[in-house]
Amino acid sequence: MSSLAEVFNLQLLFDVLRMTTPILLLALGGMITDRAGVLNIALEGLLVFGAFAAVVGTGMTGNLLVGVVAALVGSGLLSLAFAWFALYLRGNIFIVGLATNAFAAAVTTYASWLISGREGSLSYPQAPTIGPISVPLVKDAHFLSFLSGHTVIDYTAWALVLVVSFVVFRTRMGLRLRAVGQEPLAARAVGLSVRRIRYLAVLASGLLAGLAGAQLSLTLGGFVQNMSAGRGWIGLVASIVGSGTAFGSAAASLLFGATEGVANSLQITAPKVPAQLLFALPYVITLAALVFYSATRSRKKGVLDT
Amino acid sequence: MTDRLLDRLADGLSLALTIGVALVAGAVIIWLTSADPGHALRAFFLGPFQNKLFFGNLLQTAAPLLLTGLGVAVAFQVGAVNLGAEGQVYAGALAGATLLLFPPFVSPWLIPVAVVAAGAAGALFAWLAGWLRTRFGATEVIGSFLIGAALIQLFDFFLRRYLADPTAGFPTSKPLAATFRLARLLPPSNLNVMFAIGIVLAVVAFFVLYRTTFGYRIRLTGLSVKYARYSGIRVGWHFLVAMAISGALAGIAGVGEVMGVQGRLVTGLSNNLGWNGVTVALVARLHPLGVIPAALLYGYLHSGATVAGLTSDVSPRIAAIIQSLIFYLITAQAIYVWLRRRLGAARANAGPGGALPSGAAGRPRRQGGPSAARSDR
Amino acid sequence: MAPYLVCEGLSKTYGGTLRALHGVSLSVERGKVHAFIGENGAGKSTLAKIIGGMVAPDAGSMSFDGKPYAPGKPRDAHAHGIGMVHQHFTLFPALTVAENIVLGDEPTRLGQVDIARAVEEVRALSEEYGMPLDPRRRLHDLSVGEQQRVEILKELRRDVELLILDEPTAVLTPQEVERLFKGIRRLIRENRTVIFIAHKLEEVLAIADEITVMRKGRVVGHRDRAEATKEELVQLMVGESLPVHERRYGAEPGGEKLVTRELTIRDERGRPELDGITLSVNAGEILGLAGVEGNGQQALEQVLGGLITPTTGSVVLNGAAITRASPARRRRLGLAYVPADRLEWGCAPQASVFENAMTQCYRRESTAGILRRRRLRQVVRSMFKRFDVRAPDLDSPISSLSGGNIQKLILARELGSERSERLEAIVISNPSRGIDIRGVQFVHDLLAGYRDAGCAILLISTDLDEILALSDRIGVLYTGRLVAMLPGQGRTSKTELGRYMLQGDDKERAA
Repeated sequence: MSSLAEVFNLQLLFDVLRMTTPILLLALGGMITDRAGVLNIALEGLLVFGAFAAVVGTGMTGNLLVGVVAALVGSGLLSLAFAWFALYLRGNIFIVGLATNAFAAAVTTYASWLISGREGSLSYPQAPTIGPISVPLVKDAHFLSFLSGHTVIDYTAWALVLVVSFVVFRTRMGLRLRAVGQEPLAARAVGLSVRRIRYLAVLASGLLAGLAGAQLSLTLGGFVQNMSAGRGWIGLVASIVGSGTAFGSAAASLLFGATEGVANSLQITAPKVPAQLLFALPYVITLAALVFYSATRSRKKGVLDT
Repeated sequence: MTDRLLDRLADGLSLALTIGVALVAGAVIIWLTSADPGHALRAFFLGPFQNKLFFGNLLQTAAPLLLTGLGVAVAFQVGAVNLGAEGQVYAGALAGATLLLFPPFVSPWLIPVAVVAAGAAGALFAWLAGWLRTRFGATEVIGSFLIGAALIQLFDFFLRRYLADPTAGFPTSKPLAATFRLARLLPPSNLNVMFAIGIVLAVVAFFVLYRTTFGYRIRLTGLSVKYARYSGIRVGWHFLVAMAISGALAGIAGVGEVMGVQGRLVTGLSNNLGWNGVTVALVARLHPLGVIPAALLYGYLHSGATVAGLTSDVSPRIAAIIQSLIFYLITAQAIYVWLRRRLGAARANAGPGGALPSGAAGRPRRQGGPSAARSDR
Repeated sequence: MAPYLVCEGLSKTYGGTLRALHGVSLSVERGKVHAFIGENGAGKSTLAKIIGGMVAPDAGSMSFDGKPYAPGKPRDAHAHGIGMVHQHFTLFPALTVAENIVLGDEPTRLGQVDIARAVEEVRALSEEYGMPLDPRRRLHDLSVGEQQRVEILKELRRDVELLILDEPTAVLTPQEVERLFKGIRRLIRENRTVIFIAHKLEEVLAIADEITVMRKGRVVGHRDRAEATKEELVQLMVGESLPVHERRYGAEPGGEKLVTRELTIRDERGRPELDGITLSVNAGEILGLAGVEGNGQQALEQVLGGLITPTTGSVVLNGAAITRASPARRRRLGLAYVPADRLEWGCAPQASVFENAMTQCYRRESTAGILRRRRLRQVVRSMFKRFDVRAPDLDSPISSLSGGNIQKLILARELGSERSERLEAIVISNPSRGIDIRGVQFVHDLLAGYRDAGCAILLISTDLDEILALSDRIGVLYTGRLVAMLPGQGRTSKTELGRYMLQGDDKERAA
C-alpha cells in the first residue's frame, strides 16, 4: 500500500516537471521581453505556431530535429513579424500581440485543414514522438527517479534558466537590455538602439516559445487546436510573478506546472472530479498568484484607487 | 481643407487600405488553394447577397458582434482592457438559459428577465476583473482573460453536469420552449430582434458616452486617469461601472445566441464572439457608432466564408484568416501617418490609435503599458 | 582663431508645421564657453540636439574641426568627440553610478561586464575632475546635483572635446551652480569646448566667453562677453522692450486659511518624502515655498490637492479638516490647485481643448445629466477671452497648443470659473515653468490679484526669481522638511535662500 502511494507520488512529481517545461520556457521569454519594456501578449500565439510547425516539420521528414528547428524558425519568424508591426509600423504593441494570437490560431487551423482535411488537428501516423532520456544513476536512485526519463527539451529548459539569468544580469547585452526596458529614451540618448534590442528580445521570446511548442506537440505526436490551453498567458504571469528574474520565473512556473500536473493526475486517480473543473484550475491558481503578487507588491496606492 | 478633415480622411483611407489588403490576401489564399477559384471567390464575395437566407445570416452574425464589440469599446473608452468577453458571453448564456430552461412560469415576459440575468452575469465577471485591478493592482488585461478562460470551462461543466440532454450525442441542453425563441424576421435566416437591439444599444452608447456628464467622466478617465483623478472624478468607480457595462453587453450577446440562433445551450456556443469583439471595437476606432459598420463587415466576412464553405471547396475558416489580417494591419499606425503626410503638410500627431489603451492607467515607459509587472524600481 | 564647430543654415520643422529652427548659422571657437540664450521655444535645445546627433536637421550643414560633420545618431557625435548633457537626465535609476557611466561602452572580461574595472575607472575620473561620487551607489539614492555629475562624467569618460550642457543650472542651487562652473572652467583650461544653454542671464554673463542669442528659431545676435550688456541681451531675447514691473505687493494679511500640521508621507520603503510639515497660509498672503526640485514639492502639492493622503498629519481649510477630502470636495470648499506637471496631471493631452476646458463647469451646464454643448462652448469661449487663451480650434487636441496657452487654459479652468469669487485658497506649483516672459507676467499679475482679493496662496516654485518677486513669506523645503521660514518682499537675499536650499538647517545646528 505504501509503495503504491510512493509510486503515485513520484509519478506526480514526474508529471509536474513535465507540465512545467512549456510554462517555464514561455516565462523565460516573457521575462526577457518584460526586461526590454515589452509586454509580450503574443506568447500564446507564438506557442501555437511553434507547436504546429514542429508537427509539420517532423511529419514531413520523419526527423524530430527538423521538427524542433521548424518550430524555432516558425515561432522566430512570427515573433519578428510581431516586432516589426509593433516597432516599425508603430502599432500598439499590446494590440499587435492580440493580433498575433488571432493570426496564429487562424493560420494553424486553416493550414491543418489544407494538409489533413480536418480542421484544427493534424498528426502524421508515421512521425516519431520525442522520447525520454533516462539519466543513469538518478533513475535508480529511489526518491530522485522522477528526475529521469524526461525529454531533451525538458532538460534544456532548466539549463536555459541559468543561461538566461547569466545573459540578462552579467553580460553587456543584458545590461543594455535592462537599461532599454527601464528608460528607453535615456537608452537612446546613450547611443543604444532601443529598437534593435527590443527586436532581439522579442526574437528570443519567439525562439523560447517555439521550443515550448515543440515540447507540447512532439511529446503528444500531433497538433490539436487549443492545445496551448492558455499557457502563453500563464507563462506571462509566471514572468511577472517571478519579479523579472529567471529564478523567480522558474519558481512561479513550477507552481503553475504543479497545478497542471495535479489536475492531470486527478483526472486519472479521481475520475469523479469533473474534468472541466480541473481544466479551470490552472487559470484560477494563476489568477490567484497574480492577485497575491500584485497585492503584496504595491503597497502604495495606484492612481485608480479611490 | 482643415487639418482635422485631413486627419479623418487619412484615417478613413488607412482603414479602407487595411480592409482592402486583407480581402485581397484572402482572395489570393482562396485562389491558391481552391480547385475552382472563380466559383469559390464568387461564392465568398457575392454569396451573402445571393438570397434571403445568406443575407439574413449576414445581419444575424453581426448582431452579437455589435454587442461584444460595443462592450469591448466601452471598456477601452474608460482605459480598461476586457479580454474576458469570450467567457462573459458564456456566463450570460448560462445564466439566461438556465432561467428559460427551468422557467417558474411560461410567458414571453421572461425573455427580458433572462436578458437582464444574462447581462448581470456577464457584468459580474467583468466587474470582478476590474475590481481585482482597482483593489489589488492586478492588471485587468490578464485577469479578465484568466477569468474568461475559467468561465468557459465552468460553462462546460454546468452544461454537462446539470443541463445536458442525455439523449443527445454531444453536450447540449434540451431546447428552449418555443415561447422563448426569438421570432425570425427574415426566414429562413436566423435574423431576429437582437440585431435591432444591437443597433439601438450602439446609438444609446454613443449618446451616453458623448452627450452626458456620466459619459464625459468615463471618457476622461480613459483619456488620462491622472487628470480625471485630479479633476475630482471617482476614477475607480467609473472604471468598474464601465467594466460592468462591458461585461453586461457580452452577456446579453450570449443569451441572444441561445434564444435567437441555437435555441439551446451547446458547447462552443460563442465561437470567438469575444475575441472578434476586440477586433470590431478596434476597427470601429472605439467609437460606438463605428461598431455598426465594423460588425457588419465581420458579419459579411463570416457569411461569405460560410457560403464559400457550403458551395465550394474552401474552408469557412478563411474568414478567421482575413479577420486576423485586418486585426494585424489595423494596428499599423505607420500606414495612417504615411497617408496623413501624403495628404498635406500638417502635423500628424495623435492619429487614430490616439485613444487606444496606451497603458490602461498609465505606466508610460512600458510600451503597451498594461502590466502588473514591477513598476519603477 | 579658426572656427571649431560651424553650423550653416540649419533648419528643423517638427511634424509638419512646428518650425523650431529657421536657417541658423553660427560658429563656435575652440577652448571657449559659448552660450546659447533665448526664451523657451527659441530653438536652443533643438539646435543643441542637432549638434549632439539626437535630431537630424531638415536643411543646412555643419563642420567640426575642419571636417564635414553630419551625425545620424548620438553615437556618431561621440565618435567625433561631441557629447551632450541633457536637461532631463538620461540616467537609469535602478542601475549603479558605475553602470550608468559605462553603459554603451562597457569594459568586459570573459563575456561579462567587468564591474570592478568600471568602478575603478569611475573613481579615478571623479577624483580627476573634482566631482566626488560613490560608483557603487544606485542612482535613485543620489541628489539632482550628484546625478548631473554622473551625466558629465559619463561624457568625460568618452574623451569629449566639445561638451553641450542643456540648461544645466535649472535644477541646481546657487552653490551647486558655482561648483559646476568650476568644473566648466577646468575643462576650458584643458582646451576643451563647452556649449552652455541657458535662459538665466546672470549665469550666462558669469561663465560664457561668447553669447549667441536666439529668438523664434533664428539667431538674432552674437556678442563677446566683453561687449555684452544685460539690457541689450534682454531686448534681443524678447524682441521688444517689455515694461519692467517692479511691483511691491503689500496688502495686509488676514487670519489663517490653509493650515497643515505635521504632514508626513513615507514612500514604499518607509523613507519620508515629507517630514512633519507644519505651515499656515493667511488670507491675503502669498507664501512661497522654495527648494531644489525633488525635495518633497510634489508630495506636498499632491497632499494639498487631495491626490494622495498623508501617512500622518492633517490639512485644514478655514478651520475644517480636509485631510481625507476628495479633490472634488476640496474644490467645493474653495481650494484651487494648479499642479506643476501640466501634461501629466493638469490636462488630458489626448483630449480636445474643449474637453479639457469644460472639466470644472460641465456639471453646471448640463440638464439631467445631459450636456448642454452649445452653452458649454460659449462658457469656454468667454473663459478663454478673459484669460487670453489662444486656441483657434476647440476640437483639436490640447497638445497642439503651446505650453503657455495650456497653462493659461488650466488657470482659466481652475481659477476663472464663476465660482472663483469664492476661492479661499490656491495651491499653485511652478506656475511659470516653460512659458515666455509675457506669460509669466500674466500669471504673476493674476496671483497678485487673487492675493489682494483676500485669497491665501501657497506658491511652490523652484524658480527663485519667481519666489522672490511674489512672496510675502518664504519657506524652504529640504529633503521633505520645512527648514526655514524667511521674510519675503525683498528682505531675504538669493544667496541666503540658496544656502538653505543646499544644506537645510545645518547652519543652525552648527551655530
